[in-house]
Amino acid sequence: MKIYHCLMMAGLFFAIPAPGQNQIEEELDFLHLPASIANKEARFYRPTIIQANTENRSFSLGGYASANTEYFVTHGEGDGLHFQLADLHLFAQTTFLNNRLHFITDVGFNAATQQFELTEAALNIQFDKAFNLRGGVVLPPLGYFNQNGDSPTTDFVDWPLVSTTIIPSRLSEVGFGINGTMEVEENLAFTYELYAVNGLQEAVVDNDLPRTAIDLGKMGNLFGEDNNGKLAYTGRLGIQQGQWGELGLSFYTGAYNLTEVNEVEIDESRNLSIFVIDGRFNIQKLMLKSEVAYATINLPPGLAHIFGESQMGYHLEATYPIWENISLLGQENNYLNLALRLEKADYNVGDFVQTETKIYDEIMGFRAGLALHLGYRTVLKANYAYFDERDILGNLSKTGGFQFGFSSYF
Amino acid sequence: MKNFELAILMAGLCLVLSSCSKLLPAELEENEVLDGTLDGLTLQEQILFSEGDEAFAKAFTAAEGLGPIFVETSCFSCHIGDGRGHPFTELVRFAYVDVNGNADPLVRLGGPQLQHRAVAGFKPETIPEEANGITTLLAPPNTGLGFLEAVADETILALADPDDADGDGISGVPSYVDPLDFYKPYPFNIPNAEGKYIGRFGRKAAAIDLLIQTVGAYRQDMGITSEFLPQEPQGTPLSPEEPEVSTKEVMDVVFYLQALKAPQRRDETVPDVIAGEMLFQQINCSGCHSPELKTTDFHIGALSNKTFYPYTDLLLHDMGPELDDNYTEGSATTAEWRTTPLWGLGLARDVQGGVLFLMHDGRAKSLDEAIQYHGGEGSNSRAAYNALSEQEKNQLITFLESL
Repeated sequence: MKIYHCLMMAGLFFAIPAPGQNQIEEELDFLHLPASIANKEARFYRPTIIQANTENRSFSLGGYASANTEYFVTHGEGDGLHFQLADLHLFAQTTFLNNRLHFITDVGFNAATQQFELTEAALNIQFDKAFNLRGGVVLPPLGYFNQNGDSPTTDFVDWPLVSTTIIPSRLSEVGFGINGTMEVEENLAFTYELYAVNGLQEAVVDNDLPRTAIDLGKMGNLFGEDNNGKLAYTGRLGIQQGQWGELGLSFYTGAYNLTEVNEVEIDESRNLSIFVIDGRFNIQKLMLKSEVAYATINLPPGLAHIFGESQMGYHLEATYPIWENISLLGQENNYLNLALRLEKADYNVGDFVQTETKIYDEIMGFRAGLALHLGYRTVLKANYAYFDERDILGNLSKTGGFQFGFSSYF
Repeated sequence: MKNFELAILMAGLCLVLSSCSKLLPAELEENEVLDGTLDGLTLQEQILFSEGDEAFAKAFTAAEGLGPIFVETSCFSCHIGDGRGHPFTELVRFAYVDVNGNADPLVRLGGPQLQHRAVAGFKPETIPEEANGITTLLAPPNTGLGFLEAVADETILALADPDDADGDGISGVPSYVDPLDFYKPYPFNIPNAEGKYIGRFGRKAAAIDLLIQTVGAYRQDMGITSEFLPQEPQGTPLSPEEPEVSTKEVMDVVFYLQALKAPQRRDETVPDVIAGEMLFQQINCSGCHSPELKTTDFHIGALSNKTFYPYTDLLLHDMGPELDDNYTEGSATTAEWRTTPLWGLGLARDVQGGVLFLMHDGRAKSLDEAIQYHGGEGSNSRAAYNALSEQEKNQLITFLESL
């Protein structure tokens, strides 16, 4: 999407009559997402540039950006230092009809294509808190990061490997479905989401890596047709406790391959399924986040072993404020976090038939970071990362490096 | 921020930055890895090497011409780390061999190589019932191939002893094969009376030079056609109108293979290695695994007139029933194999996932086991090895691991 499309979209929002706008600056500590806010709602509570309310309508506009520099070496050899504009997102949301209709849109700059692309454009209609319809370009509720991975909300420069490769975050899909929250008692609720979406594409396997790469199956053009005319389904069940946090079980399943060319059948329909357990827990000041993912991929005959028929991975993050109320830049609510992450991504789970030995193609990683939060919108990050990467046979390569960056909501 | 807190923070950052080098994985020594360039390449040659490296690693997709039937998607897939292959990427070749040892590669039935994978819409190949000779081959290492190509035919012929005139039980013969249409001999390649040239690449020495080896692998292993071999592997119904890999990419890969460095020795001065090297000569392993060869004038200056240490004579030897798969290529009999260069043997584990898979099909899981598979012309050396003391055997193995 060209930048002028993005500006037009923003312009449409500004065109909505909003007499008597009052700019409200509401500062939520979004990094420490309050346990009382469910994952599926969290995107509606992001810091904004402006927020305007009338009797029947509210509107907000926001965005975030992040940039970083990094220096990595593999066995002493690397590409040197370089800078990246990692993220630039603009989002807007409007609520009307007695707060029952909610529209959210998010466009992000894709550094690879050098274009702004639609991340989200979803209309949510709330018939009841327990029953909402949502449609448009939605973020499948797969794990935690896909819906809540804004760069200012994490103390690390990069997302976890499992969250970007096995869970193909950030994944946007055109689809439609239902969601809701059922409060069992005060501070305890169940949430659900279920959507039918267009689904992933054949590049999951037909790629030049070569490995099963679920993230490459993301549809480049959200406005195009699905490759096989078969819907995929994604959903999540969550249990949210107001003080402790939230635990979720989610899935994604659907056909990914091309089955016909010029109306000639070339292959049977092949399914890809991803299952994720995610958790987000606050234990006093300690915050834990984790995702565990397992994926199964039905491969064309003969491709087993080169490509993974199943993949698994996890990450576990712990964040703790080691220095609070730092007086800096004229404010007192700055704090310094220590953050640790352990992670693993195994892209080819199984054994070789020929040798009955393990197929590797996996990465184990460790990250440690310091993150200086300037209020609740801006974070300066310093990360050290170390990875043991094994190729498909198990040959080891070691990579280590440093990253420095910042992320900020506007 | 209070000054002393700021000072602590700055001190901490300084500490981290000062220990950067210890936190980053150190560079491996030149003799610990197989990949790398020859010494003495010109700048232009280094650029060419780099382009060849990229082409060698390129994985093809169906849209780029992969298949329709294939074994692997890239050169690199079989030659990981430029080293020995792994049973996972093994090639299966088949033929019909009559009672006189004449081989029909069964081209009409998809031979001689099995492509057991296929892109969507196509069926992988299976071994035809007519095949009575089937062999499994692991990819050989790539390193030092330019040196082997730059050896003059007369040097190879000087090592041959077809009638075992010296009576040592070893009678190496050159592998003479028919050249393909596009073959352009170097000045040092001498055809025999039948117009055949000496093959030196491949387990049966059926490829005369690296161009033939490379385009054959593009077609047979990946189903990628080139200007040199424009047809898909036999047995597949489609042939593209345009080559699926450009001539430039092919030549880049050929140059990459020519310009890969030779594996470098380690622990040469360790007493057990020195003792093992003497035993290697003493029990006549060197009768086939000739330690030293010389190159002749070659178009790559860094390869011209060099002495190098591949531990091969590039000749075919009868290895007895132990290694007779009833399959053959070129002029080799079913029991004959080209002497495998031993250089880089000590680094094989590092590219085979920490485990050894030796011999042509990876059947040997240790150097000792590999020696035991040496029958035929290798049986005298095997017997001599088995007669060594445990300490001497260990010294010999230690020497082999230093290569």
